[in-house]
Amino acid sequence: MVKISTYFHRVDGFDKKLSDHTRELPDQDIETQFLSRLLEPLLFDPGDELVQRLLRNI
Amino acid sequence: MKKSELNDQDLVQAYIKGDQSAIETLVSRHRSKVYTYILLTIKNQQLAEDLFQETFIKVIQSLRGGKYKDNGRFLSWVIRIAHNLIIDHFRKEKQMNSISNDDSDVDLLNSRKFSEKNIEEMIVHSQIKAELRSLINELPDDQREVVLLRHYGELSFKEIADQTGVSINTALGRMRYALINLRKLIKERDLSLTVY
Repeated sequence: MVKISTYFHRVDGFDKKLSDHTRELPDQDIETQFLSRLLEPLLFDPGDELVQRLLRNI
Repeated sequence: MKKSELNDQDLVQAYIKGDQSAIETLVSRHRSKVYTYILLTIKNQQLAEDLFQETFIKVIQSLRGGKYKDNGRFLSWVIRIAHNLIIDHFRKEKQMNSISNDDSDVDLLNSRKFSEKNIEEMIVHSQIKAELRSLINELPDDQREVVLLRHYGELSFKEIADQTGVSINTALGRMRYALINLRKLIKERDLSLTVY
């Protein structure tokens, strides 16, 4: 028996004009999630002293 | 309404109308992302501090000069300014035939997050940051550039392409290779980066 998934047949909300973009969306979502998870902890702070110096200069 | 509750667009407008404290809120809101972008690109703490200041001075000058077209993408705009200043710096450095700008003495504990953590957590955190930083540093320059612009600057691929003078496909390709390389490096080094 051949099993056919209905997953690929959803057409609700499909917009032909966006087809070029939607083709890239799944990859971009995964990529964005991966990057966010990977780089979220990688945040350095300039420190209050530098920021205060900057704010005095502007 | 408190300043911190206003969005970037409203704060920019408030500053243009003469509210000095609005720019302080904007700097405070984006300081870490802008600084991290510069630091990871230029790999030198002292230079990063200088360029961080220069970036926001340029931001102020542009806002005062009416050069900012508000499209609700303040952070991306600031990162693009930082990016241009970094390029200017590298050009000058090349002209002066300067030596390596690599700096391994960056204070990994210099983060506001650490104030909320105990010492043990701080050490683990700093180790993770060091590992992550080393991963990013391993990437070829063009791939690292796309990753940092995308993550810290929240630029679209079209904006990255415009900013770096390549086609969108090239920008997408660089990101794809960067991710492949990052995954490969994580596997090779058997890194566990999921402590958070």
